[in-house]
Formats: sequence, structure tokens, C-alpha cells
Amino acid sequence: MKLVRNLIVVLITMVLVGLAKAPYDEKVAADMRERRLLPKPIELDTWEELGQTGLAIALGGLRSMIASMLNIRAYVHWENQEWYELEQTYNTIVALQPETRYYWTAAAWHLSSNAYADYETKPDIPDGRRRRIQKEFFWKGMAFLERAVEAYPEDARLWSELGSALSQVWRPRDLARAAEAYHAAFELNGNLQAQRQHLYVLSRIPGREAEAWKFGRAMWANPENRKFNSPRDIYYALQSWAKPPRFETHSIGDIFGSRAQAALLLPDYWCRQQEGYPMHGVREAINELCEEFLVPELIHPLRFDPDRLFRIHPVTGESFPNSPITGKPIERRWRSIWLDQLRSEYRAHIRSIYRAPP
Amino acid sequence: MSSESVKFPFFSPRRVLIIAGNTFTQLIRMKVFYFLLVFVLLGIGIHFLPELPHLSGPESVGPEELRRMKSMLIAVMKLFALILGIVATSLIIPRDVEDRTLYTILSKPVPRLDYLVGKLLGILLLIFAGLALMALLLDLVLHFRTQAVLAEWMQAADTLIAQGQWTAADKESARLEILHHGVTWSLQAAMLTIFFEAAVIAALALLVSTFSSSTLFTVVIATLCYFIGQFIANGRDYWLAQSRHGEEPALVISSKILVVIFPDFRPYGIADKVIAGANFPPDVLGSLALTTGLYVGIYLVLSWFVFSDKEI
Repeated sequence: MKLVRNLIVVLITMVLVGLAKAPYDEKVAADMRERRLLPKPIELDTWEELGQTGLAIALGGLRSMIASMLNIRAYVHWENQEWYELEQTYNTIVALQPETRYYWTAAAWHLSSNAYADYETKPDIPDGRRRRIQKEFFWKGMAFLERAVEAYPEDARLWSELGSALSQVWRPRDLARAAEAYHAAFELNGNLQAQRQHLYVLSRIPGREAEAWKFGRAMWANPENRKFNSPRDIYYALQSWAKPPRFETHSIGDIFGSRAQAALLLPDYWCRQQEGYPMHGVREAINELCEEFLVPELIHPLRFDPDRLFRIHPVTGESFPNSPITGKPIERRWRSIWLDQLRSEYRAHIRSIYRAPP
Repeated sequence: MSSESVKFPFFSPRRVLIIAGNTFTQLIRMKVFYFLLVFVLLGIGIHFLPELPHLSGPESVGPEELRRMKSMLIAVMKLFALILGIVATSLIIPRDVEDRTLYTILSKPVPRLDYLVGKLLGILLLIFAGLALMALLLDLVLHFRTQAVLAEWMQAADTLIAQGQWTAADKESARLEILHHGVTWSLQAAMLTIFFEAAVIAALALLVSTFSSSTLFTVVIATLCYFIGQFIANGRDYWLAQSRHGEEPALVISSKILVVIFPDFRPYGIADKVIAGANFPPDVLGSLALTTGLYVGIYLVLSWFVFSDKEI
């Protein structure tokens, strides 16, 4: 009887103290939640994925350890190219440790880049299905990054990762969203690389030249950005498109440092047309500079259209070897022929003609 | 001399310290510190885990390596503290009964409160000493690993700067991020919260052990209470949602009782956040210390209430 009485007294005391303490507990919890110091409750989907043991450990306050171990499991999935399992594992990982940027970016990278590339070469899959699965994995990867920036909108590096992932040339793209992402990154931390990346992406979106030009001018105002080649090339092309008043126009020498430097850089930029960069005035400038520096016709970068295909080398007249994979003759584009073999000769020629002023 | 002239103080810190010291020695003799060997082996073993893939250079991997090291070692610390907190406390009273030590102590002018406080303090001292040793080892290992990662990373940063992809500011912010995952005050505070959590669960186990005569029963109940305490977040949300939607009052009241009866372990989860890279604000540490003191105090008073009435 005494035991029951004591038990009842203890329980009643605990309830009363608990009720009295509840507002304080809630206040502490709310404060910690606001400062993002309180782990979110584990959701039902994650419970199922964790299994009994994992759940017990995670509930025991060892979430970060479970996330680390699952990350190693994901690494094994990656090695074995088990992409669906990898996706599921990362879903659990980010549910357990959402504040860790690495998990979001690694998940996105594996799915949008590694799985995408893996399906490119997986044998015995019809082409239509191959493309569908590739796209599916790409957007699964992007979904991870979108969830990450939604949960942590103040993380500039997450925004930059999203911008980068959405603007790669060899994969599906969403340049408008990529531009937004880079802009958000730049607004958050003022990082000049994010500013330049924003311009690169914006300039590739057809119909948004005016916006790109406005942003390009702001970017150009900071001398730090002028050290790099791409901002100079893009600024030149956008200026040629915008045709500003003469007193606001920078000469080609101003933009590139010298006309010889422009002659060295612009052909490389010209070869990047398939990436969608603006090319206004670039062809004319290259022609003019090649004339000025007496570039021989054989190594002239504009001798052919950059995308023109060749089975026989246009300079040496030799056939290209057969592909070791397909056994068929290789076809090469003019831009890759020029960049791989003629560019160095071209640059040596420009340097031999140009004598820098003392 | 009449018996009335012999006065015993209601509570004597000296007596408590003597009991605590004996309990500490008693537990040490149970060779609990062999657990440290597991800790050391794990610390070494972590270096043999596979290297993580690089996404955009080692800067994305360095912090993850350190985080992985911290999460595993802190998990072992937590297991040590919780298991010891529950098992040692559950063992201590039944063992004293079995050894007849309890009768020897209580036949002397030792109030039962002193006995309980002394026993709990001895266990907490042992947990604290174990955690402090592990924290020292962790700090050492983490410091050297951080320096290695930092050196590798700075080399990569110099290459990126030379390629024009990074600026000196990027390098500095990367350096700070790596150091943030090294040995910090926040990490020490996170390890202290493990001790707080263990103190609460040990005090709860002490309360259960005053009712129960079975060690196993005490261990099971205390462990269950710990897991339920982790569920509290969901329970509270359910309670609040029901209160808002005007559900059945009986349901609301019963869920309320269930929620308030168990200790809320949610705030102690901050250790996980610190491992992930969050800072540990001193005011939160203060409020956690206060909450811990409150739980330990209540459970001690209740244990005393039950134990003082117990026929031994």
C-alpha cells in the first residue's frame, strides 16, 4: 500500500512540476528553434528508412553519427552505381542533419552529375529511355539543392552550387534560375566570383541582353573583375550589342589591355559559341585584328565555322583515326581542331608580331 | 550527557563527499574505464574510413572529415555517459543491500538524504571524469587532424588563387570554416551537455531504483524514459495541435500529462547542431544547466521521499 501511495505522490508531483515548468521549457525550445539550435523531430518517412536500430540510435540523440555512417553507405552506393539507393540514403541523411551543407551538395552532385554521366554510357538501354532516366536523375539532384536553399536561404554557397549545377553546358539547364541563384549568392556575401558568374549566366539567356548589359557595367566598375578573361570577352560583346554613346564606349584596347591581348583572347571566346555566350561584334573584331597582325589564312580562327565537321584534317590533309569505342571514323569540329592544334601556333604568331610598348 | 544533547545536522556536505568518494572508488573497481579503450580504438579507426569524394575541391570535404570524426567520438562519449548513468545508478542501491553496506551506513548517524546525494554525486563524478578524459583525447586528435586538413586545404586554395578562381578573402573564409570545425569552445560546451543529459537520466534512474528492488527493471524503465524524452517534441506538437483544434478534452489532458511527466531531452540535442558547425551560445548553456539542476533536484527530492519511507 505504501508503495502505491508513494508512487501516486511521485507521479502527481512530477505532473505538477512538469505543468509548472512547461511554459519555461516551451520558451527555451522556441528560442532555440528560432536560433536553429534545436534539431527537428524525425519525420515518419525517415523512421521507415532508418529501420529499428537506426531509429533507436537517432532518437538517442546520435543523429550526426548516423548521418556520417549513412554518408559512408552512400559512398558505397556511388562506387556500385546504385543511384536509387543513393538517393534514398541521402534523403535520410539530410533529414537527420539538414544543417550540413556538404550532404545537400554531395547528394545533388551524385545525382545530377555522376548518375547523369553514368547513364550516358550504360549499355543496353534504348536511347529514349536513357535520356529520360538521365533527366530524371538530373532533376532529382536539383531538387536536393532547391530544398537546401529553401531551408537555408542565407547560405550563399548553397545558392552558388545551385547556380553552377543549373548552368553546365553538357547537362540540362535552367539558365534563368541559375542567374537568380548566383544573384542571390552575390547579394548575400558580395563575392565577386558570384557576381561574375551571374553575368556569365545572364549573358547566355536569349532576350535578356539589356539586363546583362546593365549588370555587366556594374560588374565592370570593379577593377578586380577586369583581371579575368571571361568578363572582358562578355563585356566587349555586350557593349557591341548595346552600342552606348561614344564617350561611354571602351575601346577594344581598354577592355583587353592591348589589341594584341584582344587578338589572343577573342578567338578562344569565339569557340565557346555552343555555350550560348553573346558574340556581338566578336567576328568583326577577330577579322580586324587578324588583318592587323597579318595572321596567315591556314591558322586563321575564322577560316571555318566553329561547328563545321571534318573527317580529314583541314590543314595537314590526314584522316582522323577511328574511334577506339565505336570503330567508326572520328569527325572533329573546326573549333576543337583549332583549339587543340592551331591555337598555339596562332598565339606564337601574334606574339612575334606584337612588340609591347616600353 | 543526555541523548538530546547529541545533534546531527540535517544535511552534511562532508558526509556526502565521503559517500561520493567511496562510490567513485567502488565504480572504478568495476573497471568502467576500459570503455576508454573503445574510444581510443575508434579514434584510430576513423582514419581508415574511405576518403570522401571531392565535389569542388577539398574545401567541401575537409569540414566533413572533421565533422565525421567529431560525430563518432562524441557518440561514443554519449553512449558511455548514458549507459553509465543508467546502469551504475540502477546497480548502486541493490548492490549496497546485497553487500550489507547499506545497513552499515544507515545504522550510523547518516540521514538517507546524505546517502542518496552522496551516491548520485559519486556516479556523476565518475561520468564527469570519464567524459573529461575522453574530451581531452578528442581535442588532441581533432587538433592534429584539423591542422592536417588545413595544410592540405591551404595548398589547394593557393592553386585556386593562382588560377584566378579564388581570392585571398575566399581563402581566409575557407580557413575560418575549417577552424570552426576544429577544437572550439562550442565543442567543449557540447560535451558538457552530454554530462548534463547523463546527470538527468542518472537522477531519474535513482528515483526508479528507490521504488524497485530489481536492477533490470530500473535499467529498462530509465532507458524507456530516455527514449520517450526524445519523442517529447512530437508529443508536444500533438498536444498543441489538439488544443488549437479543440479536440476531446480527455485526449488533450492525457497527452498533456504524458508530455509533462517525462524529462524533455530535446534541448540537449544541441550537441548535434554543434557537431554540424553551429555555435553554442553561453546563455543556452546557462539555461541547460538550470534545467538540469531543476530535474536533478526534483528527482532527488522525490527519491528521498520514497527512500526515507522504505523499509530496509
